[in-house]
Amino acid sequence: MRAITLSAVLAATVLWAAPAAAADKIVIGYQTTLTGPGGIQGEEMVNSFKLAIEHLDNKIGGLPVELIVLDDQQKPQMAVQNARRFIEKDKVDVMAGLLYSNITEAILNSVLPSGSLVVFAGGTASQRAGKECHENAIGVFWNIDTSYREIGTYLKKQGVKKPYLVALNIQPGKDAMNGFKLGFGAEVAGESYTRPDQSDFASEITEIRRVNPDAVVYFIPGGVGFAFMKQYVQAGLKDKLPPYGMTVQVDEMSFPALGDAALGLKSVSNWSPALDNPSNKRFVEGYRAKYGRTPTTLGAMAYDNALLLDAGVKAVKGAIEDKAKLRDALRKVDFPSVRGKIRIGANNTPVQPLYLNVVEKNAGGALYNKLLEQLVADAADPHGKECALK
Amino acid sequence: MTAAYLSAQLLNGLQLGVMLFLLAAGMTLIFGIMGLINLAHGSFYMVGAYVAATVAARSGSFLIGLGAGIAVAVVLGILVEVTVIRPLYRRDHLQHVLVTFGLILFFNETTRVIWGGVSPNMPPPALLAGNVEIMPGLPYPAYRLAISAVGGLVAVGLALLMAKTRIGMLIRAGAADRAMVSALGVNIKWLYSLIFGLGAMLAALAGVMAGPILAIEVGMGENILIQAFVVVILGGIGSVRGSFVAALAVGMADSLGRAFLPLLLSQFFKPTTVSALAPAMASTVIYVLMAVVLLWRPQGILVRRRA
Repeated sequence: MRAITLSAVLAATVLWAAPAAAADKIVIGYQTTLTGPGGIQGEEMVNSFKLAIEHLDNKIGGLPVELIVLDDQQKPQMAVQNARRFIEKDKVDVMAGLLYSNITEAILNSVLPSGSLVVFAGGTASQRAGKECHENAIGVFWNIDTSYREIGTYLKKQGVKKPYLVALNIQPGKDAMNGFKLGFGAEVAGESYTRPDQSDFASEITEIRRVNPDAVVYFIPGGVGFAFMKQYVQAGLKDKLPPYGMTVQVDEMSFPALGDAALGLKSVSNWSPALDNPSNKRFVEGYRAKYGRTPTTLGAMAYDNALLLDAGVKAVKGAIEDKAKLRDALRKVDFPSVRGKIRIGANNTPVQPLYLNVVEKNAGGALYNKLLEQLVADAADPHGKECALK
Repeated sequence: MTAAYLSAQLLNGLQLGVMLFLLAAGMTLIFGIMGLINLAHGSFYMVGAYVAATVAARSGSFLIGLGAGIAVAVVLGILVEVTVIRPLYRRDHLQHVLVTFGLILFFNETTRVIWGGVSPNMPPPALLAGNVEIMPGLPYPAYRLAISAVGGLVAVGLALLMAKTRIGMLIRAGAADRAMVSALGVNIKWLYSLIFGLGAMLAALAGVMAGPILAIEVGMGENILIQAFVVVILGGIGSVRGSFVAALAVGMADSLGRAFLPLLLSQFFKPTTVSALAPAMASTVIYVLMAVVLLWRPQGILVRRRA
């Protein structure tokens, strides 16, 4: 009984004292997918997040960092269990990381009601930027449908009349193609949605040949995406109709699997290793020096995740016990993103430039994504108007 | 709809069916003759693909890669049979499932340790990289035709092996009456190792052939395993000929379902309804086929009902 009273008094003292004093450290609960097919991407995220902290002299906003990294095993129930551990056992100040949108959603639904703060680099469902937006869930990533909307706008401008769409039959696939239609603004020549476990695309490719479109847009990430691209190239369609997609489907993670099949593919990204700003130079050079290859967009998102946290904690001068104040700072703060000039929109989703890249070979014969042009300087997602946040 | 389009979709179905046959032939032998449910069959498919991709990249020759992939899988298969599978024959199917599921986890993690998380590339042999104009207006990837040809050759080879050789006779006898074969003085242990090795060989062949068109990745064997099981059941457990027919039926049903369901549905529904309905219906086609066949011939397509 006395212990409880004592701790209550202590707690009250701490609470009372909190607004003024800076905390002595910041505890970050970081989780992402570290095993299974997505494990290699999660690994790059953790590497990049740690690299950022290293570049910030092992501090976030001037506070020493206690970083706890857990693996969600690409299972929503595991992720929720990890998040509980972060809250109850580790008493983290903020949660970060995340990769797959279904897992991000599971975690957000489970921890937001208890007032936890989540600043994440992974994907979400599109309604998270709209109806389901929440002040404590701040994303530094990109919206799939925003990327595809810009592909649609770009192809329209290029004079494309009959685009054909191929996407996985899952929610992000539907989001992507709805985004495309929004930007394209006209009838498409055809679309097919493929099973997530389907690795033979002969039917779909034959159908593309029959429809004879003047552009192909695809959203098939991961291993089945490699299968799609290999089969598409073997069918001899790539030179005539290079499929457009997101750069995460054709980057340093995919080059070993695709080889020369990737050459000439055009894709949209919210970041490029070629962007000329101090944060990006530091990130790309640091990553190359440490891990021997160019990082990908997911690494850049993880690095930005740390930079945003750093700027937010600095803005509140290390007084992170006041969660509401820290959150408001994170939503408003101007941070030196590796993407150059970006800001967090009112719906807690970034407003950022989008770029068009093409896969080429460098002087040494290695594949890389060459930055072709900036498609748009401040792409905001189409869902913001449904979000009640200000 | 043109004749070229229809022919292309039929070829797609044939090629998918042949891939399934290569995997299912080994499974049906192991299941039918040895009475073993081998969930780890897909692991040999994966090992074959990984070894072949690595050796082909180092040596620059697809054929050397193919040989290496198959050789490693056969040795591994016999090793696994002798050390892990042998004690299982007298036990029930639940234990087969548990142990071979454990083998899947073991092989997947070992592959990840050896090759890492990046999926290796395996281009098709240069000779088969292009397209062949089968008929006017119908270019078709040469490599896919090669897969169908290899599958056809394997089917013929297996049929000859089963019908004309002493080993084939023993295998058929083993499928019909295991105890009697053993009582006649045949070394059943040796026969089982041989069949398991043969199964691993076929799986690895399928894996290597799949390498240039699919992603070589950890767990690649498990995705296709479910469809292969459907083929084994449809064809009748233990019947290689039945597997061949069933594999073609499943390949055709799956490919043609994906190709023609949207066209069929668009006669009756709005485009938005079609794009929602067609993928869902196409993914169930092979299971509907399985249900129908099981109602009609529960013992399998080509297997005579035992008295």
